[in-house]
Amino acid sequence: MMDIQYSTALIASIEHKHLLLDTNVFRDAVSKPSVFFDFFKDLRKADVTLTTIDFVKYELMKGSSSEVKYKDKEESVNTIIDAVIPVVPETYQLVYKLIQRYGIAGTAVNITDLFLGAILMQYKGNIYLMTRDTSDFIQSIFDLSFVVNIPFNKGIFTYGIYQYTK
Amino acid sequence: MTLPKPKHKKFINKKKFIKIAKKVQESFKEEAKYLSEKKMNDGHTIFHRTYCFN
Repeated sequence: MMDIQYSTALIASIEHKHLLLDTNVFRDAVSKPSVFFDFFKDLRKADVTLTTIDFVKYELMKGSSSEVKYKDKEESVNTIIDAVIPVVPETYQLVYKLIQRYGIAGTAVNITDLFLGAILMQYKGNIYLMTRDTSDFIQSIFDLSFVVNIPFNKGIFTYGIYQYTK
Repeated sequence: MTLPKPKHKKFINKKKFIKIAKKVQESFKEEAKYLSEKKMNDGHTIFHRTYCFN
């Protein structure tokens, strides 16, 4: 059976850098844990720091029907990531800048994605974003550096690895 | 502001990861079911309100 597919240049490019993970990556990781575990392990071997922001954690944590389920989710997220990137006053200001850059295309972009985008703007070449939400991270603003494909029962999920270099 | 860099990277156990992932996946399924039912109920509510308004 075919597993995860990505360019060999991916690991070399993001080596020693930070990889920001979107909500959908965590959701998919629990759906296909073996594949994602190996992928994350390869990234860690290359000294990639796996990160996210609190907004992504909020999206994942909400809806837990019991304290045990809440704690399980928390544990799964903390197992994947090495650090949470703090949202600081500069990030909030960059969100406004990003909204201006999006123009009309920003109408449907959710708040979490705006903050993820603002973090990319803030740390530029030192950080990449991995997301399955490939329609909101438009290429007129963000650079689509790599594509990762993972076959699931319901089809092939495609993830974009984005960077902001402008 | 610099990016946070942990001193030690996590190297967790694969079996442990799969075990916790299975439990979390069940939670997500439960939430998806709740959302789908809520959408159905809300849909009825909207229809009902529109119907009354007309």
